[in-house]
Amino acid sequence: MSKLSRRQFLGGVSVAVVIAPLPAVTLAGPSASFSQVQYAARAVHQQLSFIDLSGHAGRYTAPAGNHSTRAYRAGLSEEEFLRKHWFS
Amino acid sequence: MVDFTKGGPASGYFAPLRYEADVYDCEVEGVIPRELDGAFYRVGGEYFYPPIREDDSPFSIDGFISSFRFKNGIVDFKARWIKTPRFLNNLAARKQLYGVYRNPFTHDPSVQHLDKPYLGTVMNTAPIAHHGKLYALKEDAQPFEMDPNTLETLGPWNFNGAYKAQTFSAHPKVDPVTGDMICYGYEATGLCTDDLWIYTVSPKGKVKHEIRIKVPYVSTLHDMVLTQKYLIFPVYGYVTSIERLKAGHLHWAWDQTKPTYWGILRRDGDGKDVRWFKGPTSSVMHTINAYDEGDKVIVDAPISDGNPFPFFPSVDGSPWSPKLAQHTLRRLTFDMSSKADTYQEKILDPQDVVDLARVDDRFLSLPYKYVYSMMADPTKPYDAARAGANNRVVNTYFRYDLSNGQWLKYFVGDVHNLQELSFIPRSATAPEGDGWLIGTASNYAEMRTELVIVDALTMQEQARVILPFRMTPQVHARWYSAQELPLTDKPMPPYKGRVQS
Repeated sequence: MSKLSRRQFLGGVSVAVVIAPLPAVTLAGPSASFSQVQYAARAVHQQLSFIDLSGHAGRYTAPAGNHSTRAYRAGLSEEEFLRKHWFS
Repeated sequence: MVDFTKGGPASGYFAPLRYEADVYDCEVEGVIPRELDGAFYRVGGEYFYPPIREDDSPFSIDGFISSFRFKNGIVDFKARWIKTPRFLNNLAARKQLYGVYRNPFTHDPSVQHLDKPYLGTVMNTAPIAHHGKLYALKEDAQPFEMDPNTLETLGPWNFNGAYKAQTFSAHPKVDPVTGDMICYGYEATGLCTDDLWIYTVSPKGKVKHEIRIKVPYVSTLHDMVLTQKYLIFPVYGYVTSIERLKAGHLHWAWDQTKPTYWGILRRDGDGKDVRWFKGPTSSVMHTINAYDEGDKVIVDAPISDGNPFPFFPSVDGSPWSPKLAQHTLRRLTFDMSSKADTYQEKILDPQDVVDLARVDDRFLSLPYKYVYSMMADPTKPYDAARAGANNRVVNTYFRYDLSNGQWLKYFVGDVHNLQELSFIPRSATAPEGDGWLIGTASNYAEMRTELVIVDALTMQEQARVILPFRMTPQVHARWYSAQELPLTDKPMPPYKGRVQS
């Protein structure tokens, strides 16, 4: 039997939390009223990630670096990329 | 103050990395083979201060060394800048003092040293271990000894004064039969000189043989190859001159009219026997292996028909050709019993491959069966939404069987770009090819560097070491066991500080 890694376990936990029949939890952000809350959401408090069930926490968005990589890479031709980042 | 914002600054995964790092007990997916007791060293780097000109070569990046230390299935990671005089001079000045690639005429006058160009080395190309020492290498200077455990820079080493060349190639070869290291320096007596000096260093670190020869024209001599009888050096395509450097250009330009020369000389001779075989224009930045077959010398290498590097311009002003930059696995045959100065060249397979091929090092200079390298396999998925468009990532390791032309491949993932691999034998007596492939990959989506360990027989992944950040890309990397280097078992000593009573 293959060993379950910590990363796989944590991924499974987050999926289980998201699909579980939870009390009203919002995707609409902290300004939404509690009655509108329908789902669990990934959130961040003091730069620490957690699953917010209250709907009052700050919403998590993907790190800007990922977007930045996409935008930067898409703006370079293959030759330009090789000139700048032969080692990548 | 440092400023990376000029000239289309890199961002995202490619933004400057300016830190050193330690990660103890790295996160691992899968299971690290318990037999792995050693360290995987990577040498590469990037600019600590930005280059003075946008057209500079990536080969001017400041040297950086990192290690993944394996012991009992646990991995510790360490990364340090290589503290060259250049790095420390820049840091003291808080700015880039040095000019473009290997051209001291473009340096700040305070660090120009035209008669000692090696003082401007960035030491960013490759690691090698021999006689129990670890070195970082760059072909414009003598090797820098590094502490294999702390990665502290110990400084240049000239083998107790016996190594006389000013330079030392990034690709010396260690003969698995004798344990001797064959190393050499081109431009051995100064900028743009046609001197190639070749040394044999014993397993105890003593220089035991020196050969001095001249090359047909001054060119990149980045790699060489050897058999049990011969030393073999390719000279190809790239040209330079003092006039070119005085005009402020990068060290190399590409001349598509230049023939390729292969110099072959006896290992135990004085160099007077060197024969230069002449062939069509090509680039042979890296070799794979060579061996003797009767009176013939067989050389395998990934070879391109033109300039592989877009940052080295053509002397005739022609644009860079991606097609001519493609490498294929080729076999060259030199007939040493013939008086002809030509050779046979055969493309073993037409597939475009990365020219960083490796073998089971126990078979260097000997007949062998397997070639390992990487390729951009377009049949594999790529997640452009997560990793960026326009990316032609190197996503596959391969094993090429020279006996039957069969390919065996490993795909790393749909947001990854692989770097050079190493082969680790499963044991000292394991048959050729029985072992693991090891190397790092850039994960563009998760913004981190990962190290993969792949079974070299099945090409199935065994384990993946996750760094929680992106690490400087390497140029070259090598695995060395704890039998080859005096590696410590613990990342740091037990606590000996103050204790609360």
